[in-house]
This record gives sequence, structure tokens and C-alpha cells, in this order.
Amino acid sequence: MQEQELIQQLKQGSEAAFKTFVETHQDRVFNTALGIVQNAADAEDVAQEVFIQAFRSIGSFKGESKLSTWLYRIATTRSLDLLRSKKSKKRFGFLQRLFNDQGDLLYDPPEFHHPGIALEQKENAAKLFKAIAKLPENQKAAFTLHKLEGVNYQEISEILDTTVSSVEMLMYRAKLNLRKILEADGSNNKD
Amino acid sequence: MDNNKTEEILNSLVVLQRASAPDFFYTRLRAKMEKGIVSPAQQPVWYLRPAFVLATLFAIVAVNAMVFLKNNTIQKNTAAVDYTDVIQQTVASDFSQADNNLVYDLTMSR
Repeated sequence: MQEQELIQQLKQGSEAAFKTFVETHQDRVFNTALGIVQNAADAEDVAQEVFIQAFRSIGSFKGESKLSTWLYRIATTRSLDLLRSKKSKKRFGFLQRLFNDQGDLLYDPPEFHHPGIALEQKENAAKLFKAIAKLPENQKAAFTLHKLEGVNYQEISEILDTTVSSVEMLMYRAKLNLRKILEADGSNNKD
Repeated sequence: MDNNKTEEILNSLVVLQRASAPDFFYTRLRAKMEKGIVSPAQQPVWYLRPAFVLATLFAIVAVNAMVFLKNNTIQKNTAAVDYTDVIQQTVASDFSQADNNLVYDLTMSR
């Protein structure tokens, strides 16, 4: 089914079209969310929310960008929203610790292992994901979209609603920051 | 950490397969849509945000306080004016009644 035809049918509320739409894009959306939130359960929640939002707002989709670009944009926004909400909960973590014996373990995420990583790269990739989690939002989004989804800079600029040169700058800074974080973590581990 | 190790880590995502969505993703999605379960992150209910609730409460209390204080001031002023008026009117009426005939009548009755 052509994309325009699919969009038309989605706008008419066709259930079959929605199923096709979800099945075509679910891995893309899930993988993007997984790269950003670094937790499979959270990534599934985000992916579901992305499709619910897409279903509700397909009427306002003008077709100026590809469906995949539109979905990437929603997925990135939702994932970053979730991280922000977790971060704000973490700020009040000390209050919860008063009532919970587990204390610090409550919000400290375990080491993340992406399911698509080759076994021999698992350890290195886990270190890299830990470093990615420390990047500023825009750098994190750009780096994840490019490295995990293979999205080119032009499409990333459409997803993040910025220019290609800004994306280039984001990627440059992301790599620079990752290098710094990895070196700092490496020297901390030596101590 | 040496440069080679850092580069090795940075390149660890070069060979990566896209993660697949969990099994029965569509079934669970439909169930969620039918139940109407909407997480707070999905649809931020702006009017339930603490900042908005507090600001609204503050505005309501402030308006109430202003109205109360204003009413109090008006009542005080009105009461003061009325009291003065009453005294003036009473004195005026007393004097207006104390005319010559009244004095004569009082004298005659004694």
C-alpha cells in the first residue's frame, strides 16, 4: 500500500490501515524509544503512546514530511518527556527514601544492554549507553537517531525541527562529550 | 582510559541490529486504546499541574481578600458618615422644635 493511500485510509479511521501502519513502523518507533529511555518496558509504553497520538492526530498530518519522520518526531519527544518526568521524580527521591528501605536503588537504572548488539560488543556498548544517558537532550536525540536508526542528518534536522548544520554541530558536540564522559569514567574506574 | 579504548567504545554501535517491538505489540496497543488508558506523559493535563493549581488558588484567595478588605473599608466609612448625619439631624430637629410657642406652652403648663 502506498503511503498516501495509507494516510487517506487512516484519516477515514480504517482499522486495517491502522494495523498495517503499526506493524510497518513498530520496530522503528520501539528502537528509537529504547535508545533514548534505555529500558524495554518504558520503551514499549512510549511506543504505544506514539501510535495512540498518531492515531488521534492523523487528521492534522499534512503530509509535508514522511510518515516515518513524523513518527520519529513523536517518539523522540515522548521519550524525552518520559526521561524528564523520571528526572523530576528523582529530585524528590530523598522524600521517598524516608518511606522506602530500598533507598538509592529505587531510581538507579541497571546497566542497559541493547538486544541488537553483538555479544562481543556488549560490554563496550553498555558503557557507551551509560555515557549517552548523560548527554544533553538534543545531542542524545541526534546521536541515537543517527547511530541506532541510521537516520541521515537531513531527516534528523526535520525530526528535531532544526537545520542540517545544527545537526552536524549536535553530533560533533555529542561525540566530544561522549569522549570526555568515557575518559572520566575510565579514570574513575582506575581509582 | 587510552584513546584506542575510547574509540573502541564509541564504535561499538557500528554493527547493531534494530531492536524489535515485543510480541503482540499491536494486540496490547489495541487493548490500551480500548480501555482508554492514557498515561500522564501522553496527555499532559495542564490544569492539574501544581503550578497552575497553586496560581489559581492564590488568585482566588487574593481576589477574596481584596473584596473583603474593600467592603470593610466602605462599611466603616459609611457607618462614620451615617453616625455624624444622625447626630446633626437630631440636634437640628431638636432646635427646630424649640420655637417660641413651645417655650410658651411649657411655661403655661407649669
